[in-house]
Amino acid sequence: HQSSPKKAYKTPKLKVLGNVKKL
Amino acid sequence: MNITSNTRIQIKKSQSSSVLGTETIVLNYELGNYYELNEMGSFIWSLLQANPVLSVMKLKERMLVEFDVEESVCQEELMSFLENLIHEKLIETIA
Repeated sequence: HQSSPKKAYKTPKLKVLGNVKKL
Repeated sequence: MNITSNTRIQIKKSQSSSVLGTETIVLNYELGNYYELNEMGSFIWSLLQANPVLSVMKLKERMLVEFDVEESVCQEELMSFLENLIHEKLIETIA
């Protein structure tokens, strides 16, 4: 008697780029 | 705001997003802020976009299937990421 390798993990991140109202 | 594995999440309507390579740019109309999600953040965001309502548990299960990560690390970092998204009013929890 079997899989695709798992992808490398990275910490999920949210980055503030700016503010359109201030712009 | 404390979220648990059973908490159900949905993307708020007051935003718009666009994929840029492996990352995603999100604009929050309400606050006027715009953001960058890294590759892993983009994966989570795409799952939320594809499913109108998704539990934290389901999100974690999908991440564990796709990525080489320990469950405890995945759980902790997913929770932290989702709390950031809630704080920035990009997603909301539903009863």
